[in-house]
Amino acid sequence: MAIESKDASTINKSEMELDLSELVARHQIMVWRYLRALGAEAALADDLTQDTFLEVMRRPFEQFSDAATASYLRRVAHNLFISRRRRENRMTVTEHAEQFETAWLRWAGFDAGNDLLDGLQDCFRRLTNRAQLALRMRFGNEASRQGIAESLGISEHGAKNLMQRAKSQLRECLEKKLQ
Amino acid sequence: MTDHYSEQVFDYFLEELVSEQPPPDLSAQIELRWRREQENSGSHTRMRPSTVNPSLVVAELVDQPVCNVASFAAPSHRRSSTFSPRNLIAVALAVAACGMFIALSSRLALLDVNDTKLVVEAADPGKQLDGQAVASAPHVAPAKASRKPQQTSEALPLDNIPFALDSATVSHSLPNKLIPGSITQLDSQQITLQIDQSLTMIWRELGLTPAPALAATERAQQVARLINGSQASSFSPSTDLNSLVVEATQSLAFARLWSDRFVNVWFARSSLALDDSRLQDLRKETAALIRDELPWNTVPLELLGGDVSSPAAAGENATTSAFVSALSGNGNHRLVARIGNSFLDANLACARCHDSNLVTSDKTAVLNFDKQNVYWSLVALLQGLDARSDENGKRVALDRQAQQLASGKRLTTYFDLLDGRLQAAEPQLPDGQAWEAIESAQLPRIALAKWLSESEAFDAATVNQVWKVIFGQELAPQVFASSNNAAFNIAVEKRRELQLFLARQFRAHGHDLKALVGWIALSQAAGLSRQEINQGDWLNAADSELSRWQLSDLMFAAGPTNSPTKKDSLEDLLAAVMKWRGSAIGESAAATTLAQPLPNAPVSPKRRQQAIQATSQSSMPSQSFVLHGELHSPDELSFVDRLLKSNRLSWDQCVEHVVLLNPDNTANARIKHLADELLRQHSGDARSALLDLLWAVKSSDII
Repeated sequence: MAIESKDASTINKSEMELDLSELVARHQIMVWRYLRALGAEAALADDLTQDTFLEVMRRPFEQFSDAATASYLRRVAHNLFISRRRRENRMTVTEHAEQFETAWLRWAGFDAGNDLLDGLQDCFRRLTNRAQLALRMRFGNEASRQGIAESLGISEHGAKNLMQRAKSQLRECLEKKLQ
Repeated sequence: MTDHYSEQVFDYFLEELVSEQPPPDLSAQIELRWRREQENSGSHTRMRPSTVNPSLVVAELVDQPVCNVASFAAPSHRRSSTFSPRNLIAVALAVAACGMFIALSSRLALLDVNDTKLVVEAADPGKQLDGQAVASAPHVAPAKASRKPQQTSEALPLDNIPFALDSATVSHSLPNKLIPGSITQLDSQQITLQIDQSLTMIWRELGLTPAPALAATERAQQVARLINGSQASSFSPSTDLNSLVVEATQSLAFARLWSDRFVNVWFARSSLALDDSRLQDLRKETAALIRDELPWNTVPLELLGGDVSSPAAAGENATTSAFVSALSGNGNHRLVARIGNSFLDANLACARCHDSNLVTSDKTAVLNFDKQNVYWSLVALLQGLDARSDENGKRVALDRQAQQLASGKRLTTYFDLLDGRLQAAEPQLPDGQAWEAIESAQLPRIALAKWLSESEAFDAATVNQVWKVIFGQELAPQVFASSNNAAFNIAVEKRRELQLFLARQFRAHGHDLKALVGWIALSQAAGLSRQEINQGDWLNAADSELSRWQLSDLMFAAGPTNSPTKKDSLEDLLAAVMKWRGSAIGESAAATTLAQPLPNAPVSPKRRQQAIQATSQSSMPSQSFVLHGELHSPDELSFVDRLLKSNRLSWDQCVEHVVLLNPDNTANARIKHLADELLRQHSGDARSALLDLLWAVKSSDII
């Protein structure tokens, strides 16, 4: 059964049954990215994404719209992440689910962040080569600020400024694209 | 606090982008865990875990060396000549006829139902005609997250890039300097004769018989149409073609038409709409340049060497301002690509990321423009050029080169080599000279403009552009991958020689555009009748026949078929490919026919025949697809095979390589999505998908 966005009043009981594969196909990328954005490492995001779908499927669940389902899945994922962190006695700054949800929707919107990534890719190309290199080292290779500074032949402060400016440019560019 | 979270989310996406680590596909694991849970609990659930969507199953890789298509992998079937749209249409028509026969027969109780079933099975598009089962085409719509390469972008060893060290891939590029020795200026008749001789030699080499020549009256009409778009039919068999050419090229219609064509080429897919008022002014100026017979090599000076000052300073500065405002910005890569394509006769798309190391077969050529450092030197030369929108939303050009030089800022630019090292490029001309070597050039871009105007590459580019307008394809392709077909390679070599010959004569004649158009329009090839292929020919033709038609078209052994108009966009063409590759034929036409074998009411033979004809007419793809979409030329096959042999190239990168063969294209998310769809439609057969994409890319040229 195809999952479609429908008005709640028009949905009958049988239609509300969900097809697991459809549900996973539609939302797993979003859930995984959401968990990564929350701060989960890749392996943990793998586990919690699976847990999220299993958790949802164990409970009565009605499908009203894609957006509502996505929001519900994010809430479940968020709770699972917080629980896991608490079990590990690790502090987290992401307990404000509503605020994080707002931040998520601001950037990722309703399509799991695919448009954002497309736009980001385009904006990234517009950066100077040095700025691209700095961001690649920072976010791709997790290089230290000192390492980045040495590679670019600038001071640590200069590297910090360069990356801040670059991110600022990216945000500005993206906001225009996403308007 | 929200800002902090906003930063956190943003940082994650940035990390995903630069680390190129897309989300994994966890559907199989989730499905497995869910099933185990259900088995253990034995409880009934209201969920319906059906079979997992094949799009999310990582199936076995196709059995051929392909790009990294793991994310779309599905059982593959090789492209088979029996699985072409042509044969599917033939099957559909045959089945339609059979269906009607069956319908009538069943009414007469002459045919058992089981027989009907057999007919249906035989026509199942999921099976090959020889009865060999074709791998079913699973629904492998790739998840959007899979659009990124599955493999990380590790530094690629240079020897694994298909075009890096492979001398078999040939780029046509020409030297910037005049070939030593004087060029003998031939008269128009001699030049036309040379064109005819060269093409005749090619046809003989390939065993082609040229299409019949047009009758004298039609020939005169053709010449007038090609030169100034005239549709006049008041010609007699005794019309003198030479006089007609002189008269037609002197007309205002000629100047306007060719001005329009060139401006459209220079500004295609730029930031200025083709109906922008600045381009209307430019068309008038260009038309005046043609009408007054000014040397055509002043074009680079006009477009790139003029003054870019404030938007208010229009008039004589408007041309360069328009060109810069239309194409600069974002690192000026679009501007570099357009200069390469329009003035250097070189596709520089590859050189942005790696050396193509393309070998020119012209032994006198000393330069290749497809080196990465040449590309980035051009970028450096154009540093300081930019464009922005003013308060009225009008795009205006900016030129900060003078200020940058005055402040002592170096115009050095940096680029990444394939092995990850950072390399610097100085603002140098394509031949390696410092820009300051050009006398009286105050700015790097002006030096480049002057260099281009004197470059033989510009002459060759002009020849190719004029030829393309008349024949619908370039005389010598800018990128050419030599194949195992020696005769074909030689034919392309001859075309290149002819291009060089025409380029030199163009220079010897003072860059006279009218003369160049006249020589080509008077050639024998332009006077051949067109190759028209109808539905019946197409359906009945053997592959060898199709190949011969294709070769005739490629080697100008048939009259020009393309009118110089704007063609479909790449997206439109990809949609057309998908239509002809499957859905329309495999599902709509055939399936509809098969699903309704029994007509509700007796149909008269006449109406039935009409219905069949209507179906067949609507089932005929464009002639371009018939000639070049179903079969591919040896160089195209060679090009795609080279891509596929490089296991380090991801599917997305393969797509980018093909899409950028036409530098006007961009491999954006939409195009990649369509390419993914194409791959899905071909059941993971990357070779077939890339060949279809290649047809669409080549057919999306704007003349």
